[in-house]
Amino acid sequence: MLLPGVALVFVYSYIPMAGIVIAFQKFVPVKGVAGSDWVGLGNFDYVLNMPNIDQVLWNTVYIAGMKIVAGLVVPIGIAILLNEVRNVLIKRGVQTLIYLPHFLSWIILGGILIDILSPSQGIVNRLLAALGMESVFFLGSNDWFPYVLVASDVWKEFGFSTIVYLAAITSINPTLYEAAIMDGAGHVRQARHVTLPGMLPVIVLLATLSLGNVLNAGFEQVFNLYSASVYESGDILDTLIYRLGLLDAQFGVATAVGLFKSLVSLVLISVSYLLAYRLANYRIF
Amino acid sequence: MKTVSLSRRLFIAGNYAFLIALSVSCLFPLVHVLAISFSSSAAASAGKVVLWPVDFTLASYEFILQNDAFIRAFGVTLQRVALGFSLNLALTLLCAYPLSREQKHFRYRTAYAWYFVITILFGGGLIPWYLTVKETGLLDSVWALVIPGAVPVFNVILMLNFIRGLPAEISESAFMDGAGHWTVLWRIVVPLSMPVIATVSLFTLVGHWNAWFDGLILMNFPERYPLSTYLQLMVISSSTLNFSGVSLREVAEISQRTTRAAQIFLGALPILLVYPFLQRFFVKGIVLGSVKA
Amino acid sequence: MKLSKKMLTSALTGCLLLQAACSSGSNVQTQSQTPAAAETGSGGQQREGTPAAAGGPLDPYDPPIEVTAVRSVPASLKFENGDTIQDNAWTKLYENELGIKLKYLWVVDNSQYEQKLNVMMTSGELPDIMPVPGVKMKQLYDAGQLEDLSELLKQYGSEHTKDFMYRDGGAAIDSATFKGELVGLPLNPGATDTAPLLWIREDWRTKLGLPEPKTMDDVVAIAEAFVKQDPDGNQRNDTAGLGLDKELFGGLGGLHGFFNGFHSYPGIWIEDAEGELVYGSIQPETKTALAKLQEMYKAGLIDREFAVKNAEQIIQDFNSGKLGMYYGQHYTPILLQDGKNNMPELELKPYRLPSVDAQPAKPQTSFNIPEYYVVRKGAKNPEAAIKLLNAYLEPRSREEYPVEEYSNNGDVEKWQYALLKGSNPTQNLDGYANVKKAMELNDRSILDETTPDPYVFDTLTSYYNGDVAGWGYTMVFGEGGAQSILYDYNENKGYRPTAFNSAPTSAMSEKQSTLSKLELETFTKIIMGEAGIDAFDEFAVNWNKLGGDVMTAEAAAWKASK
Repeated sequence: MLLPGVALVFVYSYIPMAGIVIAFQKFVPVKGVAGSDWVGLGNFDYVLNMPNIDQVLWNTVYIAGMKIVAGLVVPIGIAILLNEVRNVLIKRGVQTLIYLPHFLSWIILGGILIDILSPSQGIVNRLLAALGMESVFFLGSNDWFPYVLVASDVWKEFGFSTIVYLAAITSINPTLYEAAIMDGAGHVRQARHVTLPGMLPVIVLLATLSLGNVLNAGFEQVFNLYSASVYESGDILDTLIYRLGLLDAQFGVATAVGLFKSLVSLVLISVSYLLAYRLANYRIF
Repeated sequence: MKTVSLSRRLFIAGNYAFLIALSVSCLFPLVHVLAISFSSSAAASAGKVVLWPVDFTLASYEFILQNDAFIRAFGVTLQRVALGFSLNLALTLLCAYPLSREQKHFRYRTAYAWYFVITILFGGGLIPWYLTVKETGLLDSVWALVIPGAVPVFNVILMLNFIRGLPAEISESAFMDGAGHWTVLWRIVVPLSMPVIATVSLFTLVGHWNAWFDGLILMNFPERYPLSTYLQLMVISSSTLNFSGVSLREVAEISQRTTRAAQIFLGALPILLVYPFLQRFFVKGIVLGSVKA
Repeated sequence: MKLSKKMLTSALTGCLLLQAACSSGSNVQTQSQTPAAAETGSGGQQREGTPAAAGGPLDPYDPPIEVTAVRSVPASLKFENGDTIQDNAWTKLYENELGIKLKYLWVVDNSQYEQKLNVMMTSGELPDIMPVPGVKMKQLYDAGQLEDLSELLKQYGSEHTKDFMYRDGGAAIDSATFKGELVGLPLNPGATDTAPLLWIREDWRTKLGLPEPKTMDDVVAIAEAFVKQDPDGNQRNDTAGLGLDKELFGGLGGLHGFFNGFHSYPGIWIEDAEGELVYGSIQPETKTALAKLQEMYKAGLIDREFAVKNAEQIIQDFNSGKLGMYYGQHYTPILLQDGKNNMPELELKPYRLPSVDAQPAKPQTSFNIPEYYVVRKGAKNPEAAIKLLNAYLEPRSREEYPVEEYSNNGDVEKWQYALLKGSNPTQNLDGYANVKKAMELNDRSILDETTPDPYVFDTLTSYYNGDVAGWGYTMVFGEGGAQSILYDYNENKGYRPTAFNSAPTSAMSEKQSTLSKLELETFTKIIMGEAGIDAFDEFAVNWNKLGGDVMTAEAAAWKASK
């Protein structure tokens, strides 16, 4: 049964992986893989010696980390809240609507966010002014920028995960709920003792897989929202690489960075997998 | 009869309010884009349009829909979505089911699972991928959009997780009655897994509908582009970021904020229409009856 | 969760690095003439059994040959009557008249062209003919993949082709010549259009009684007045002074013109007192200009939010009546047409660059060759490329080759279908002069139908007759418009062109983006007052340390080799 899947994956995912060797070359497209010079760890050296690389790496991990956490907590919370909604129409309506932002690209959303967060005319600052507070230059200030990134990204993507969690919730055996109710559990108790545990396998799975994204702080988003005044807090690994003029000279470096990211993800995911297995005898996948 | 406590009522009211407000905030940008698409170019580029069209006009839609290229691209997308969706779903089920079996029944399952997971983490980059597709002769055909991505590993993992959660007794009893794996898969697992199948279907459909990069690189001529690629190019190439300032006529094309908006909306529309339809499957309690039996 | 994120990164890179090939000038003339083939004179030889003999510059191959190519097309290119890029009037012309069957291996949008080129180059398959940007040409040359065209151009180039190629004094050809080998045919739209001008809303200026800007102090005064004196009369302090966007050096709302006013030339290479090539951004004059900008920002004369605004936002500001002054290139009014539509009382006027002292300011121009046509080494008929170019540049009778079929039919730009295009480096300047003459004589017929000139003439006429839609073009080509000023500068050698007249060297392509980021960040911080003006000195030092010195050395080597 597994055969077709295995075969296809082999051809289209494993064979191209051989290209990882580019990470160790000074790759020039015209020369091809065979003709480009070998530089060993040279590309990695290059990246690690780039100005501000520490700052950039820190930004990447910090922002990605926040996104992972928020990206777990928010959809779970919303899924549970949504589960409490009895009115089918509203439930379906909300479900549909929260998935919408996913369809808009950051090119569009970037423009909208800039308008909304504008210190002089944006809605948010006008609200702050009405409440007697000073206006904040959200997109131009290093103090706020990372949080704006996280909040807007979560808003855009939470619909996706919420769907998965909702599906998990609907698969929970109703008898468990009945038993809990008979034991006198109120709604909060039910959520804690039936719903959450029922979702646990999926939560653990999504959490583990999202660990793989710890170095992917979101290129498209940052690219459309950042500017020179927030490089310090907003520049991430991918935007740094992007500015290297990928196309002409730096394929090798880009592949090297990709390899680096993959290795880090692999380590994190393996560790979680092993922990779950050893401690709870549970295989995440 | 249980009376509903005050705190519970407050909660419910607050919950509704919160969720509705959240949904509205999610709706806002799409409505904004929609409003721009129906407005005049002058109003749109001055930033006058917020939630309602200013100087209502159908011009941008006319412009797009008249274009042959749009219709052709739409056709390509329909093809790839139909083929891709069927293939993906079939393979997802075929892979998830064996992987969901316990270690004791299927000895190498963990090895296989890792085999798949590694592919999410590692890749050789654009060039080797392109070369592989080329060498397998798929270049410039619709199959290039369907086959390389035929195994959606993330969906497989998701599904195997769900299947694992199904009560073991059901399949056990089926096996004892002499049913083979295929029967169990088809007759038992699939009907019980509707929520996850619906989820995975949605992701696959959306994924195929919106995937534009593969169309761009793997197709040799614009006539073969899927819709998303076509739209993406329209949006990028009409963005001021990309302008070189050489042909004055091209400059005039750039001010077309409204056309861009129409394109975006048209691109997202089909999925928006399909999604509510799929929600029927997120239904509770399918498991119930079968366990009792 | 596919791997598409990584690919997206590469794709987006591609988008921003490419420039569209363009410019018209297919040179089909209006007076009737006998078909071109008869003009060439030298006879072709036709023999069976030998590889198709090339014959003269415009003789057909017999038997016909097949030539492979790839190319980019702008997404907005239109077709009609069932034409496609592979099958249209030009491909038919190539086949029927030159015996060249053109076969495209693939065709892609401008924004992804370079990406696709890379991928193709890796797979080792090169087509016979490719349009490539300068950097790629150099890479291909270094890898020994390009045919030397110098002799071929001499032998097979028609008179017209040779004339066009050398019209700029040979600088373009020079940039494609390495060690005496000409490896690419340049497409040269001319550099004058990259010059910045100062644009001001005349209705505001006259309303507030401000003088025309001649000095930088005037510029500051106007900015201040625009901010403080409520030029739009709505009792609100919502108008900005000098427009600026976050890229600092874009074509609309960029600062080149401002810096030029201080005799600083950021972003290009200039010759210093000893004749050495140095980079404009690190010169002392740049520091002076930055200090002024810092002052202006502090005084609120520059939009406080400029650092997060991109060009589209600047357009929005202008179109909604909040912006009245910016530095920008000649085409910018076309982007602002909606503004005029919204506010008919709006008047925009371009000005020569004001200067900080008695020396006039020179607008800078950059190296502006978007592509070169190269031929793969080992191609069977390398001279075919030259013939294709001849075909484009050859004057043709209007009766045999109607304009609607080969040049323009309304807004269907058929000249773009041709694979190898030539261009007139002074296209827009000539256009301005010709249209001006035609309008003075009130005689449209003197204009060359195959250039955009008649279209410009019509648009200007309609505007002067009251049709607002022609405003943008009029601001560019009309009386006192951008081209009139650029024309003037050109006649009087008033430009400061870049002294490094070639595609970037390898160090440049590697280091440029890091250095540009450093420059952008430093300049932005200085302007916003987040860093003191002395941060500039540190920047200049770092610039050299981080690779600028290698770039300077390579530029010097380039100069020495000329």
